Amino acid sequence: MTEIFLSGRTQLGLEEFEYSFESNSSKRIAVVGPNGSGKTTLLRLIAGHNRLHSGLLKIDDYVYDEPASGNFTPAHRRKVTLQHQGGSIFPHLTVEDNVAFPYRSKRNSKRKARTLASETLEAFDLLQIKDKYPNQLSGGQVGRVSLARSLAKQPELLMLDEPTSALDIESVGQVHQILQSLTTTLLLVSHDPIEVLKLSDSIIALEENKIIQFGALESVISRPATQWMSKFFDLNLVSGTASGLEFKTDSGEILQLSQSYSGNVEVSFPSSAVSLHLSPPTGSPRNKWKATVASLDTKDNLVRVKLVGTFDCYATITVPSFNELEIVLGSTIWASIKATELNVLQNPIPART
Amino acid sequence: METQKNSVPKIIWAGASIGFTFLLVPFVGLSQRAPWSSFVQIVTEETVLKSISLSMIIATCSAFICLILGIPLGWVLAKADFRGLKLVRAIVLLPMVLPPVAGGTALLFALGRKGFIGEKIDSWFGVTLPFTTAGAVVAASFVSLPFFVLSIESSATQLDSQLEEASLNLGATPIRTFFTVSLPLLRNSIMAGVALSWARALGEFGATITFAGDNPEQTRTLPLQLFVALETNPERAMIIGVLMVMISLSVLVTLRGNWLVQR
Repeated sequence: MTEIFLSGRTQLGLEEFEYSFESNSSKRIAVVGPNGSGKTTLLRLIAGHNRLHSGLLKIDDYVYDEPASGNFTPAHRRKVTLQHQGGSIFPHLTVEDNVAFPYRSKRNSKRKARTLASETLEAFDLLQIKDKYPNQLSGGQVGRVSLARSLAKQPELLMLDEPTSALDIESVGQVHQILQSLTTTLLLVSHDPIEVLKLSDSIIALEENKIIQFGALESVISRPATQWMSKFFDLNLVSGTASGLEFKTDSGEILQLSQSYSGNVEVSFPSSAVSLHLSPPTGSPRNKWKATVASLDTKDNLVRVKLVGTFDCYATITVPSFNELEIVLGSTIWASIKATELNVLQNPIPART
Repeated sequence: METQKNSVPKIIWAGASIGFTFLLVPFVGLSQRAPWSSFVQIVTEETVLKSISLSMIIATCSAFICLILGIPLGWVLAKADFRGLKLVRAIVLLPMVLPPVAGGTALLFALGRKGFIGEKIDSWFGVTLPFTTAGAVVAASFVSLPFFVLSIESSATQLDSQLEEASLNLGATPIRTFFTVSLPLLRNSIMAGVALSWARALGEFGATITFAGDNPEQTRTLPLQLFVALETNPERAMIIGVLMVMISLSVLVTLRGNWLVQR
């Protein structure tokens, strides 16, 4: 596991940036925040494309950037890879030569580099397109080629700037499966809360070029520091299997869907769509289940209730209805959600082995 | 494209037509008066053949020199940031706007037999540039280098810097990045620059005759041959003129097809 230590400031043009965090035991860190909040600059600092004006950047025990001592490791000597948004595949090289590029940079002979590249391509199921040029590839293939190339360097830290933002749903699934199977420490900029929930174990939240929150996924989601954060994470994700209109969670709870699906799927729904009741609800909601209140968090006239039971999820309700329900920690309660609020995310292909 | 063409106002069309006619008329006049029947005979005359081969040799050597000097120069102008950059750029582009005669004069006083550098070259190596093919190459390179540099600089400025960053990210040193990523991506503009500077060197007259003089064996390129013929043999002058139009036009047509219109 790779540890990142960053505490420092920098300036680009008129904009000032201030970052401070220590990754500790986090292996998959998602970087989230509004547009222009300094996410990409954070990655560029760690990659060595921007420099600190003061402070310290360390990866494991290596000082990469410390203006006070004059230490600065240039980008090409850092054991990290930054994959730009869009992948930055070299348009003048074939897929094979793109993936061979990091091997060549490690002073392997051309033939050795190609052999190593072929192994990598095979692992990513890209061997059949090795002779193609980037402009002949689909968006999903570009996504996989850039990941294969980034990993061919065998970085100690892989940084991805919105790796799936330009991909179709099927390719997003493929890229997610690759990322889930990785053991490399990951720093991932994402605009997609589902991606964050699926791939990360901790969160760096940025706002106005500062880190406003850093912590384990669970703790950040249960106590988002800002309005933007609570909106971003107003989302529950449950995995299970679908057959027809029925969705069975991994824990065995059955929920009704509004459209037919089959196979392994994930279901997402906003926490504000979950209603809470003291007794088994009657009426139109098709889905109801019993749960225990595990935590409560009040903010801006809204209460975020964490429910545990056959599956865990959040419900957001207003303070008046919270008072009416007389909810306390540990109390048992009924939750319900309309089938139309359940958003199904289908995994396109079987999991890689 | 169609809609853009249609949206051009009539008055602009009229202005463009006059401009085009202005450029076209001299060539029509030349081709009308040219003694086409003696074209092959004149072009295959020994002195003309000599001029053609001298022109080709000088233009090609000069394009090669532009390639070697122009890539680093264009790259620095595009990427570097230092005090006096604008002055350096102005000096680099100077030969483009300077009358070639003035450029040739400047070369003469620097590299001529009595020039402050030429004198030393003469006394140390026994080499003099004036009246030699090498001198003509120097003159041609001097006037055509800016064309090459401009071509490199403009596309180096537009180069996607993320690709170069990606190369560094993947462990390639800056110099390796330059040769394996930047240069290949500049391929089209390098080609265009070579063709442009080659064509410019081919047509070079003023600086050549001022600096390298008119030596039938060493420096009398096609433009010099044309100039000489104008006073002694107008028919030959016209045919050489036609020949140069044909060469230049074919260079430009090739350029448009392949490199100037790119991406």
